[in-house]
Amino acid sequence: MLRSIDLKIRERLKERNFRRQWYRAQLEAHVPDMFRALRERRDMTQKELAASADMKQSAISRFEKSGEANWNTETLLKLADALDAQLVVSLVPSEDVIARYESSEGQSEKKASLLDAAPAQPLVGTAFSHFEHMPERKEFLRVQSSKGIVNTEGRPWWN
Amino acid sequence: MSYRLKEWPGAWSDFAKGLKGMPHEAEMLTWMERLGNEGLQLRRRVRPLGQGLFELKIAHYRVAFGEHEGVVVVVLCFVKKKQRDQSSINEARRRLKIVKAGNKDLSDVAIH
Repeated sequence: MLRSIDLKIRERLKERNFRRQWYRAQLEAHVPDMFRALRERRDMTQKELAASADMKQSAISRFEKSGEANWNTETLLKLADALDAQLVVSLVPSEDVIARYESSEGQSEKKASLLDAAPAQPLVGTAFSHFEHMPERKEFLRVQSSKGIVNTEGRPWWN
Repeated sequence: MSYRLKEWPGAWSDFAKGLKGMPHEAEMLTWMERLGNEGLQLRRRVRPLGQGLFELKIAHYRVAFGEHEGVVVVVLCFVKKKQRDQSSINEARRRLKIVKAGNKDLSDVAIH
C-alpha cells in the first residue's frame, strides 16, 4: 500500500542546528528560481537580461543554477532593477516559522519549550529580498514587481 | 495543482532515518517539500530518466519518483556510489511499473 510521506519538517525545525541549515537551503533553493520566473514572465532571454544588467549571459546562467547562497547584494539589486522589480527582505523569527509548519500540517503539538519564551514580533527588514514562508502554498519566495507577485512556478524544462 | 507525496513502502521513511543529522538533510527536505508542492513542474535538481521515472539529485543522494493519479510517488531513494548505477534505476523502474499498474496493495510485493 502506498503511504503518504510526512517530511517531519516541523519536528526537525525545533533543532537549532537543523534550522540553521534549513534557512540556508531554503534561500539556495528559491532565490534563483524567483529571478528566473520573473525573467520568463518578462519574456526575456538570459542574454537580454545580461545586457540590461550589464552582466555576462554566462553569469546569469550560473546564477539561475546556483546552489550556494553567496550572491552579492549589489548583483541582486542590479538584476532586480533589470527586471523592474523591488527586492525586499523579511526576517522571520523561528518561532513563527515553526508555528506556521505546525498549523499548515494540522499539528497541535506543543512548540519547543525554548521557543515559547521568545516574543513573536515582526523584526526589521531592509530592501534585499522578500522571504515569505508559506509551506501550504506553492509560492514560497516572492519577487514584488510593478505588475504583481511572481512565484517559482514554470513549465517543465524538458518539454 | 497541489501535489502530495507518497512512497513505495519504506522508500522514503527508511532513507530519511539515515539522513537525519547528515550534512545534506536540510537541503534534501527543502527539495522534497518543493517536489510535493510543484510535482513534475519542478525543474532544478530533477532529471527525467525515461518511462515516467524522474530523479531528484541532492549531492550524492538520489530520489527516484514518478507520478500516478496526480500524486508524486517516491519509489526508491539511494546513495549513488558508482558512475552508472543502473541496478538502482532498474529497480526504481520496476517499482514504478507496479504502482502505475494500479496495485493498491503492495504488501505482497518483494521489496529489495
